[in-house]
Parts: sequence; C-alpha cells; structure tokens
Amino acid sequence: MSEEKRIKKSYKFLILLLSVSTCVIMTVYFASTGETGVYTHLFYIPIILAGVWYKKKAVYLAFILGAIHIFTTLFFIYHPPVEILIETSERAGMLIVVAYAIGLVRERCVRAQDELRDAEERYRVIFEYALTALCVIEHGEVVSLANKEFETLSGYSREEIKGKKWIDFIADEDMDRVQNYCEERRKGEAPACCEFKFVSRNGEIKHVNAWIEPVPGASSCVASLLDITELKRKEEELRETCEKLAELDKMKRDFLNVAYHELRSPLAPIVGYASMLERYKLPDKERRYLYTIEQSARQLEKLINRMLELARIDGKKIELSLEGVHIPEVVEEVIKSLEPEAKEKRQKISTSIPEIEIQADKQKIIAIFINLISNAIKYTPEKGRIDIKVEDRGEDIRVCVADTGIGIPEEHLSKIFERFYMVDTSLTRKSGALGLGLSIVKEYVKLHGGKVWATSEPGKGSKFFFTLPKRQ
Amino acid sequence: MGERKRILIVEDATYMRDMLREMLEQEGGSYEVVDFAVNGKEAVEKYKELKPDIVTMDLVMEVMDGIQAIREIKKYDPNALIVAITALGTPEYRDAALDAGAEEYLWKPFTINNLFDVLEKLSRKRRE
Repeated sequence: MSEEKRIKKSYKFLILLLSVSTCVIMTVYFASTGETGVYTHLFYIPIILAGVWYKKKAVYLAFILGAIHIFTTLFFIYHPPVEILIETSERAGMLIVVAYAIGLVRERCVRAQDELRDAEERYRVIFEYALTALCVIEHGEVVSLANKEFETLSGYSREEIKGKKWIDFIADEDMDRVQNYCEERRKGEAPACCEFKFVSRNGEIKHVNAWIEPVPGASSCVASLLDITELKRKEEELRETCEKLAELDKMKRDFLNVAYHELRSPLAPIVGYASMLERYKLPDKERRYLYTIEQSARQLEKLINRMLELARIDGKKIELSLEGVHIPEVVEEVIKSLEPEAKEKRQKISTSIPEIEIQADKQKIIAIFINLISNAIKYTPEKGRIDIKVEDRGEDIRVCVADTGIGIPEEHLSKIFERFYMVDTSLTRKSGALGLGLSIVKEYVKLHGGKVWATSEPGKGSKFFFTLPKRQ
Repeated sequence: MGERKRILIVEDATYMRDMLREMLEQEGGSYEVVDFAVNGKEAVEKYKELKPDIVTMDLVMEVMDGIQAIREIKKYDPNALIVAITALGTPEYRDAALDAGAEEYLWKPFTINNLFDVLEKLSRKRRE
C-alpha cells in the first residue's frame, strides 16, 4: 500500500515539475517570438494534467502558473507591449477558470468513487462475516461468490466453490422441491424460507434452512443458508423421547386398567358371598366377622377405584358432564356415607352451608368432598372436630374443610397435592392411603376452573380450601 | 309371579359361575340357570340352542369378548335381555356394552341384592 502511494506521489511531483517547466518555457518562447497562434493553447495541457492529479489543489496551481506566466513575460520583455500584457493576463485568467472547473469535476468523480468503494467494502464485510452461509448464484445455476461460512458449510475452498453448480449442493431427493422453490421465489410467490438437505464436500448431508432472494434487476440471486443440522438432531431426539414417554404412559395406563380389572374381579365373590351370608340368621360373633369382611372388601374396592380414577385423569382430557349441583345436598350425602367412620372415632362433623346450586359435574364434586372429608376423619384423633364451611362469593364458592387433626408440616404443604406424595412414608405412617386422594381433588377442582390450597398448624389441625366457579 | 326365568350365565371364572348360580337359585325358584358358557362364542351358540330369557354376560373373555357376543346375540334376537356383569370400571366400557345392546350393567363386586335389583328391572322392562 505504501509502495503504491510513493509511486503515486512521485508521478504527481513529475507532473508538477513538467507543468511548471512547460509554463516557463512556453512563456519565454511566446514572449520572445511574439507568437499568439493556436499553438499557444498547448499551454493548457500541463495545467489540465495538473488539475486531474491535484483535484482541488489545481486551482492554487493554476494561480501559481498564471503568476509565473505574467512574471516571466515581464522578466523577458523589459517593456512589453500592451497587447502582450493583456493577452498574458487573459490567458492566466482562463487558466485559472479551466483548472478550477477540472478540479471540481475531478473531485466529484473521486468522491463518488470513494463512496462507492466504501459502500462496497462495507457490504463485503457484512457478506463475508455473516454467521449464515451466503452465496451468489448466477442464472440459477452457477455459484459465483461465497462467504467464509459457506466455505465452512460446504467444506470447499472459495476457489473451488466459484463456478460450481448450485444443484451439486442439493441432495437428490430435495432437488425438485428446491428448484421449484427457487423458481417461485423468482416470481415472488414462494414463502421466504425452504428447508432442504445440503450436500457438503465429503458427501455429508446437512440440514439447512434457506432463504433465496433474487437480486433486483439482475439475473442472479443470493442464497442465505442456515445450518440447522444440530437443531434437527435435537428435534428428532426430543420427538423420540416424547414418543417413548407417550408409550410408557400408555403402558402405565394399560397396566392400571388391567390391574384394576384383575384386582376387582376377586372382590366379587368376597362381596357376593358375604352378602349372601347376611341373609342367614347368624350369631353375633359371626355377624361381626362378616361385617369386617365386608368393610375390608369395600375399603379395598375404594382404593382400587382411586387407582382407576388416576389412570383416567392421565389418559385423556376428561369431560365434565355438567348439571345443577345442590351443594348442601351433596355434602349431606357424603357425610352420611362417611358417618360410620367418624362415629367410630367419636368425631363431630358440623357444616355451615348456604342453599346454593352450582353448575358442575356431580360425581366429581362428590369425589372431591369424599376425599377431603375422609382425609379429615383419617387424620383427626378421637373426639376431634371437622367443620365444613361453604361461602358464596358471588362469582364462585369457597369451601373450607377444617379439622383438628395432626396437621401438616409447613415444608409438605406445597407438595401434598402432587400425585403419590405422602407426608409420611415410614412404617409408622397411618396406613390405608396411596397418596392419590388429594391429587384427584386437585385435578377435579382444576377441571372445574377452581383452585385448591391448604393451610395447617401442626398439632392443631389443617384447613383445606377450594373454590368452584358457579357457572362453567 | 308366573313361570321361572331361564338364565344363561356367561362367565370365564369358575368361582363367579358358581356364585351366580347359587345366588340365582336362592331366590325362591324365580330363576333357573339353564346353562353356562365360558366365552362369547359359546354364549352365542348356547343362546341359539336354549333361547334363555336372560343372559348374564362377562365382558373380558377369551375367544370372543362379551361386547362382541352381545352384538351377535342381539343380531340373532333383537329382544334378547342381557345384563353385562364386569369388573371393568370405566364408563367407556359401560357405554360400549349398552351400545352393543345390553339392557343393564352390573359392576363387580356386587351384592346379591344388587343382582336381583337389576334382574327385577329387566323383568319389568320385558313386561312393558
């Protein structure tokens, strides 16, 4: 670069020398011969040259040369005639004007050139260092220009890429599709992006997302290619994982369904024969045995049912079969079914429920109450109290089931509604629970568009709250 | 009370067949078990042969399942009275059985009273 500049500088100097000396020589010549013919105009040539080289400075140069011209005339002709003086001055004036004009034009040209070069350089840098592979395709066939990233993507060097056929980069199976896409892009019809398989140097297939844009007013187009191979791989992995999970989930559901059937089946003769025995007059002791058998069978049935409910919740979206549900009636029904257990523990169940009917799925509302109230009974010691309070809040109702039971430690409160979660899994736990009840409550409340939460004071009792909108 | 209702029991588990028979025979001779079938195919054949008044139909069985058997019997005799008795719990199976043509659906486990309630309902339906 500096070498080039030095050469340029010496050329400039040479021309300056040439023009000054031509100016002096010609002035001396004209002055001594007194010639004023057409040749005298040759005088302008060095000035023009100087103008071309010196751009704006040419005007100063012209002044200097003009001055030299006049002084030389005065110097060589002691008393020059008036005509020569006038002619000399005219010439000097012309000289300045011409040099100035040339300088201006020249300057403008150079500025335009500089701007063009700057712009070109800027776009070259953008093109070169873009993080997507870019290439220019001529007539839809030959690649004429490519950037660094394109080299990386294709595995070819820039020299090799230049002149290569565009279709050589496209996998056979995608050829027609990409060609169609290019064609439509040219017509301005296709969507901006197109995914296809890109063939790189060693035949390795890469997935790219391409944007091919025709250059306006030219037969070429610019292709911008984003390597999405890794993305695709991850996507595929994710899809496989999802499939596997779905399969596992289905297996689990199938298992639960089958287990449900197989576990319930042997219950049939237990419950059936027990009910037949009831028809006989039995002594008290045998009647008590029979009662226990029946109770245990019913308890087992309940646990199995819960398992199935869970399988159903997981299986698919459960639809609510909506009807008007009279809350006091439902609660009374539930309490009635649970009364034997509460009585056994001499617990007191009290209710405070306004006359209210909401739009809901009755069976699910019953399940919610059964789960919460039976939990309360289970975890409340003898002679404890259970209060069920329903508040009408306008848009929705808020239900609170409070007990005076063992309570739930703070750290468990946020997790008790999770499936299978049990506060106590030790051998000293209260048996008869699977950790499913509250998760079913949560699912069912959620299905109705309500919320469920709990507060507790360990040792003093727990409060379970849920809300249900009045209308769905 | 009229004549005894003739009943065909379709059930793959022996203990269930025995229990159903014992239950039915307890009810003061209102019901008579005419035969057993252990799968759906046998049930269809025996229905054609014996023309029972009522069929109790298990749903999960080898060779031909209960739903299919209900369909076949109903095709043969649209007036057949069938009670599906099963431990399958989801409403979908219940709906499938009822859609196939079963009149009633009884869930295992059930008490003897549950069974007679259902049979009573069927008899009433027949009379109507």
